[in-house]
Amino acid sequence: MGSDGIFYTNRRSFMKWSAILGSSFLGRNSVFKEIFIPYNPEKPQDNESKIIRTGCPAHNCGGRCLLKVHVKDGIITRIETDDRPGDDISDPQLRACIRGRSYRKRQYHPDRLKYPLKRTGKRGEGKFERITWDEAYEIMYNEISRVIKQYGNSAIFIPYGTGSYTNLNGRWPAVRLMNLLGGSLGYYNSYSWACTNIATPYVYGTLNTGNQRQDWLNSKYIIMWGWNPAEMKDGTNSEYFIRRARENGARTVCIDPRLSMSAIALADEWIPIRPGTDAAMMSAMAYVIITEKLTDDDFIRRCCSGYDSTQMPAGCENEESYKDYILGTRDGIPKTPEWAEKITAVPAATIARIAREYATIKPAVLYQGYGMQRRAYGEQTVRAGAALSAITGNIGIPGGWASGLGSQAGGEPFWSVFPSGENPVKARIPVYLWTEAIIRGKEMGPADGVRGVAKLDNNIKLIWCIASNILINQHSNINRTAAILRDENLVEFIAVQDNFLTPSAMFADLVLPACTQFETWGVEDGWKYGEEVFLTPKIVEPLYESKSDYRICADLAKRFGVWNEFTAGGRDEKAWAEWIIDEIYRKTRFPEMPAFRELEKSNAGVYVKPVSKPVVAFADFRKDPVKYPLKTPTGKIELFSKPLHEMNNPEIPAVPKYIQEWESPFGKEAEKYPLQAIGHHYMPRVHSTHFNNEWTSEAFPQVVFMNKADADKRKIKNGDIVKVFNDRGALVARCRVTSKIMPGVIDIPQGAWYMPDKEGIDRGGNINVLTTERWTALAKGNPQHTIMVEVEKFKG
Amino acid sequence: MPEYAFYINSSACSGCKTCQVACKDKNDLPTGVNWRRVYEIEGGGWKEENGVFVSQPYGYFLSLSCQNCENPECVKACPTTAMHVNASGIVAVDSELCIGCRYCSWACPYGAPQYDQAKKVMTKCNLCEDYLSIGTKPSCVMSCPMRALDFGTWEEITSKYGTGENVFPLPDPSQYKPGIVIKPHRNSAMTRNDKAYIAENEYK
Amino acid sequence: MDSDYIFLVFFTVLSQSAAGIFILREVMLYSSYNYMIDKHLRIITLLIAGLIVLIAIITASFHLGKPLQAVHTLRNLKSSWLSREILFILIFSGIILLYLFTEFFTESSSIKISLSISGIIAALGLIVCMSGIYMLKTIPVWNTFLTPSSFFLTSALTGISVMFIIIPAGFGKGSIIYPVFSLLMILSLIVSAFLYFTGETSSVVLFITRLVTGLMALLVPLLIYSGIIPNKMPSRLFLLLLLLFTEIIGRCIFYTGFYKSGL
Repeated sequence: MGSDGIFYTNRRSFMKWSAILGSSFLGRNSVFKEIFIPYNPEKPQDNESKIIRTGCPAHNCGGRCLLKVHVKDGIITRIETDDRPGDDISDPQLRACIRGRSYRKRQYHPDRLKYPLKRTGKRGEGKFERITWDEAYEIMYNEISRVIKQYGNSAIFIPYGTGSYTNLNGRWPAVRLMNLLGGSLGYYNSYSWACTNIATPYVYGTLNTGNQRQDWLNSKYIIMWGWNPAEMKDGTNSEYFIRRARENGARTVCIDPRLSMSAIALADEWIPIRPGTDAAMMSAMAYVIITEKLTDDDFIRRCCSGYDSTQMPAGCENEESYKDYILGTRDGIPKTPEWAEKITAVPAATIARIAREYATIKPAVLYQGYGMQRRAYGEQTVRAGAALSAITGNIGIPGGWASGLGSQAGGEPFWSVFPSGENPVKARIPVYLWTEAIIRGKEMGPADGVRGVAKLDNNIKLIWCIASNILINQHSNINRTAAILRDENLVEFIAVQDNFLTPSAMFADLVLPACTQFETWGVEDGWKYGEEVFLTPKIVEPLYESKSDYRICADLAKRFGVWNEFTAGGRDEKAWAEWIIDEIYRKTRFPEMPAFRELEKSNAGVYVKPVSKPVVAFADFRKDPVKYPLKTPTGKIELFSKPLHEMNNPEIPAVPKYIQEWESPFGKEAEKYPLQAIGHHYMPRVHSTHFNNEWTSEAFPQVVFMNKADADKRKIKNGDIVKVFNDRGALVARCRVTSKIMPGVIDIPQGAWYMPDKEGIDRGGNINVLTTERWTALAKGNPQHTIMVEVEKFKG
Repeated sequence: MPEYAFYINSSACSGCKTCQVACKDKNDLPTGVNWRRVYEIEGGGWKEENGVFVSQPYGYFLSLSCQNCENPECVKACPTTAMHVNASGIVAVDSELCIGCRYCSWACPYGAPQYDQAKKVMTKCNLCEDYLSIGTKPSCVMSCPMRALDFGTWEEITSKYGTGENVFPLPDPSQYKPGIVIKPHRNSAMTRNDKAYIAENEYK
Repeated sequence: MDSDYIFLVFFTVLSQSAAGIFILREVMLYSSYNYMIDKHLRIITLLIAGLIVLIAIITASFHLGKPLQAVHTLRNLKSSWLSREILFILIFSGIILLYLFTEFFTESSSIKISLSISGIIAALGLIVCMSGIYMLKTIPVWNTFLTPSSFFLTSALTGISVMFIIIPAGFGKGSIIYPVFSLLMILSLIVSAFLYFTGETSSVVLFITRLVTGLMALLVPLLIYSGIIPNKMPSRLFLLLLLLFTEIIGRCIFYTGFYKSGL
């Protein structure tokens, strides 16, 4: 669309722009045709351009960056980034990436939700009519009251939603409100780190296995295993720290099926590996390290448990130890590089060389990306990587790294501190199993990972989905989810609260327009790393009739008669932001940070605590494991886990093992669907956020990446439109034929918006029409990268 | 010698295109007009032997805007003198004179002049002249999350980084004398014996 | 290559035709063929050349973003071939206009000779400048002698075939002009073939069309030459249309072969 030079630099042209572009809605014109009117705010207060510093709107982005937002006449006219002088490694500038820099195209997108909408067609059909906020609140009030009365609070579910992390925008206010009204069904775990969240503590007793990132500069050897920080943004500046580590002399190796942006920009060597076989290569590395006596025996003896028969936990003395598995003592299969070569497609000599390098060039980092744990046996990969760190003794030392999740030692960011209160409903489901809780909630108990109760007492009957595209877009097997949601006898009421009519919002009965994070007050801190807190002030007025998530909940609280409790005596967004900074951050993580009033007045946007002496995880433990034991049953690093052993499940072995995935190129399914498909986190967006941003999409269009060998076999040329399909569904997208992905693997960047055509084929290119709802054995997590597909040239 | 120079550390560039969009935001550029562009260069291939892969592909990125050549072909080609070297020594377009014939975009070997369909004139990087005048570096340089870009006078940049190397797919600089200093990615050496290509160009 | 290159196709083919018609007219006027062109025809040929130039200029303006500002295009004669081209096309048009004027109002041969010579220089200059535009270091496929060859051949071929039409008596069967035409046509096809194979994006459909129509345009004069088909208006008109079509296709191959070295 030719938005051209008539930008919103002045009021008149902005209105013109709105009017022109208002009707172009991703081919869904019908929705807004009748109800669109141009934005008509009150008179501008000032003509001077102001610069306001704020945090980059926190979606579920791994980065947290500083923006300098130019505002004129109440309109954002330019977005720059951190330019604080110094840019020292202890406190580097928090420079925003393409996502933050293109934010105006999201903020002023013509498709922003403008008014509350009520469904008129069938559910999922996407037909809505405009209603007033009063009507919308009335519906919400009636439905919530009815479901509580008819079924009880546990039938209400506020799903996983990561679209907003500024405390006042996002799902937490709604959780607070529901908790005041008797609670709602809870969940635990996440879609991002499902397997590592659960597996890491079985090894280390904690998730805080990482050093502060400045410590990478002390490393001599860094393995980026399936890790792509330059693209997914695993913390602002992570890629820059790796650059500095290399300049300090570290050798870097990237192991990934794709020649990723990080493999190009950060690695000295790239090793392509068949997806889902990481644990095989890790085991073969362990074989080389053990047989060539490159292990850190002293560390193993003092700090590990279950390495060999001499240190098995009580009651498991005769079980297979980690070493037994690696050497093949029990199963007769030594996990040699030659064994792994056939599985991983990595040459045996390379595996052996990387093993030797990792074990001898110390201190070394083995950093595990998250994509490889979003797989059928993701738990095994996490634990196999941690085992390598352990047997080489790269733990508890500067420049080392314990692997596992790697949240930073010395305290990780809080993410959300908005007090949502105690949930009177004790039941919690694994986050990934919410569709199960719709269709068979009452049958679900601990076997399905349910916590807090012996059995759920309800199926989910009401969904209130906030800042979340999980209902359709981001959950596996979209066609299955869509069928479940379409059935109004299952979930009886769905409300979606967002900035756009997302694929999830298309399935709502009621759509509530939330404002963006530029339009309300908020506080955000780091994602996984970082020592900073951002104050995100209200920079512009909410567009149209949109409101902050907090305001919507507060208005509803009034109807329910709990306004006073909900607002803690009348706090608005700003008052909460003040409370969060003064009462939470200044009293916990950052006592020395300026008070809210000062921070606001200074227009700094951020408080940063410089890191000059990075904290090293497990340093004390390494020195004296008896005095500083881990929170594992043995107090040590558990290469063999007794609790896992007691689960007595072949899919949950007590020592980390390579297990062939349930959909694999080695299985029978490969005859019909010979290609592995992965869906990497794409540069232009954060999950599904920014998919409709024209600047990021111009720079990085949605494509299917395919190796030339695979393309040639199918007579597919670069730029052709292709259909990717398996038994669960099909999508259509443009094909980018490239040498930057290994043969046998295609990559469909995740997060594209699901846009089914009449035949039900997704034209948006969403990988989740192909993924499976099956969950992993231990974590009950999402295995969304474990799928087999076929690709053909699309006709039609 | 050119007046100014961009320093481009291709070895550190991740291809994130933040510079490209920072430029669009600063200059209010529509989709399709990119005063700064990040090119994705790709080459090499795969050879499978006994189930393992022995040969490997390679890639690197180049972020380019306008090099403010000492011998600007665009200025020579322009029939109207709309494309000119302004008082600050910056190659600039006078949109009052420009007739939108796009001849400069043929002549420029770097793809710097960008046609704006709506305005019907050529547009191009102006080095953020307004920023330079207040002592700030161009928007793209300030945006780079990898700190892979720099800008200054030719003397400043070359004394800091040397004169760099010319890499595929850039033309022989001797004829244009571009204000650009490139620290090559190690992979650009591969293009000497292998036919590399610009990925986006192949794709479009 | 932008999709509106089609305007440039017509502009170049038309303006080169006009140049060809004019030059051929002058050559005939001052050679033993001058008996073929009477007073009536002298005016008609000029009118046709003038009209074609006018259409060409209008067509070219569609290619510009801001055609109304085209007056600025003369500001960079110092270094821009495009500027020079426009200067020459204006001079050429002016001379045609003056020439027409003199054909009506004066019989002064010295004026006409000077107009004739300056007109020929302007026409040749126009084609030279036009070639200069395309001979860019950045566009290797155009930066060869093929570009001026293609342009001059178009001029000659269109010039001759227009003359076939407007001279009622025509060239007799067995006239040397027919094999010359066919020879030029062969050269034109060879140039197209080179452009096709050195260019990067040309379509094979275009090339086959060019070959088939080019060979037909090559055959027709030979058939007339050997008397197999009669030297009558329908066949001559057919030849002109065929030639224009094949040259336009040839020019499309020229433009679609466009690729830039560098970026």
